Amino acid sequence: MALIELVEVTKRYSDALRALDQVSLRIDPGEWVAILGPSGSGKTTLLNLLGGLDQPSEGQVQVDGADLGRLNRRQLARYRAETVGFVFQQFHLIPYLTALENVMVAQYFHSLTDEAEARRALEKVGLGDRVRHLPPQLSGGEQQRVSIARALINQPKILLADEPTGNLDAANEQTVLEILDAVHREGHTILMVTHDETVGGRADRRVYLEHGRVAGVVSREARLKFFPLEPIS
Amino acid sequence: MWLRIVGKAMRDRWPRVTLALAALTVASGLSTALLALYADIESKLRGQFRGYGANLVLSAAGGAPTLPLSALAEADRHGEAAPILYSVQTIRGEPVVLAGTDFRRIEPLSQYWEVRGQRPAAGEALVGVAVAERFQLRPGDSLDLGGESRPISGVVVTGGPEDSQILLPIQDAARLSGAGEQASLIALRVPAVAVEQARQRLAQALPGVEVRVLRAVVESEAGAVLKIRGTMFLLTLLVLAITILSVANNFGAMVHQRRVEIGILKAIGGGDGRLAGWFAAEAAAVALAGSLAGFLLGTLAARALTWQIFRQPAGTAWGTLPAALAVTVAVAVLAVVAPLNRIRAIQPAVILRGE
Repeated sequence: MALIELVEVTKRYSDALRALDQVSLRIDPGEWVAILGPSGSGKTTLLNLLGGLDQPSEGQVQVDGADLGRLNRRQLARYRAETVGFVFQQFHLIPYLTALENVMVAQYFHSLTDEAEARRALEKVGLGDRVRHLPPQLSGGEQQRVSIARALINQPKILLADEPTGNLDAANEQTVLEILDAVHREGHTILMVTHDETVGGRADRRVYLEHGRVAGVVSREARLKFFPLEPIS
Repeated sequence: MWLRIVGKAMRDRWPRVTLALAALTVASGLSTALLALYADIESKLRGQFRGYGANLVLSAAGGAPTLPLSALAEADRHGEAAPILYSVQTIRGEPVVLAGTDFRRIEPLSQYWEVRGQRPAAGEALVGVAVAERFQLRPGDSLDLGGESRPISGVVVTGGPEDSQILLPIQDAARLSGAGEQASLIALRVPAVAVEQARQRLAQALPGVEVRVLRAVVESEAGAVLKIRGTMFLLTLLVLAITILSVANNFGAMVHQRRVEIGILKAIGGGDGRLAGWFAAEAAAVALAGSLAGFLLGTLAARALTWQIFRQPAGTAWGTLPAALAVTVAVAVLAVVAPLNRIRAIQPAVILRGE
């Protein structure tokens, strides 16, 4: 049974602007899917719909059996706290909280804070010695690792990453991708938006979007092939 | 964690928090000062008006010239009373009105009198300014009254009938006129709000006595108190309204400044209620600090104003602390209602897109 299922999802911002147009997609538990496409193709909109940050204009977004379009604001907040973890291109850490506190905020929204557990999460991403640092005192790569620790602290079923390496140099990109590899190996489902084919190549499956529509899907096994407008199963 | 986040958020935005604190301190300070004055104004004004003289007069009914001094005991039950006994004596061939009174009793009712010299002791006289000019009298001179030489302790200026009278202790006046334990009238001062009630009770208790209300004094006193209280009340409302606008604007700007942070927090699971609670807690903390600081400043201001206006010391009006606290917290609550609604309206997807 699919963990995520989008059924003919359309997102309109105005009559003239369709960010997503009749998109259907199924993602299995533990799968790592990369969403690729040019700017304005609807990648981030798709991620926002799956993260419960936005609502579809038409169609259904089902995650773990829940129809996100039917959840109220309070239920969506619970969904974001419990089911998904976000990693952003701009890191989006709270600037006046330490690395440790940034992780603990996510715990706080989920249930109770556990400083030792938050510390272990930061150690796991190689930041055991930076827990008391504020975001402006950390490098971009370190901030992104804090962001990953924050996203994973509540053991979400799905990790949603929006251009997680977009602001990083090659070395930090490699580090972050290795962390995502490890997360994937642990069984997390990852949905990653990227415009970088190399980064997307790490995923089990690549979904190409163009003008809000699925333009193609490429599996890891068939990465050298391209199937334009392949029907989504 | 909650405290840590709220504390750090406040520290991070200290300029705006300081501004809100200053506005709420001003609101609390002005409320405290005005409430303290408001609560005290009646007693202070009563003290001031008391000096303007009696507001009730007791005289004999049915055209009798005097009433017994025993009526004084009944008058004392309602306020400050002083007997006055009038008679006419001839000085250097001219008739002059003698007014005998109890100078200890008349003191609180005659604070507007300007006495050049001293108020008289037994055997002395105080002459009105017109009498002093007519007969060329000065303090220290002597005056022949009923065959007795009487030292003049001072000259009095009142702007009223006393200016044309000679005032002396009532026992001396009674002896000179042969009136005995009598008074022409009893001047009585009661609180303005109790005038009518006092009049009715005195009329009931003293059947042979006519009790008259001096309307001008009563009405001017009540009018002044009402006008001053009304003005202070409106002024307080105006200040509070301005503060609400100022603090609302400040908190609104704070929410706008932190919209990205709010968007991020929503994205990682922060609910509208919980995030609004953080801002409300910040507002409450600022309101509490502002209340206490304002109470201290307002109390000092009230003391200074009381001294400036009434030349009387004022104590610390602890009773206004809960009111100042309630007013400041209410101002803060009203001021954050709109900004808290704005938190709800922040859409993380829009914010995270950078719009």
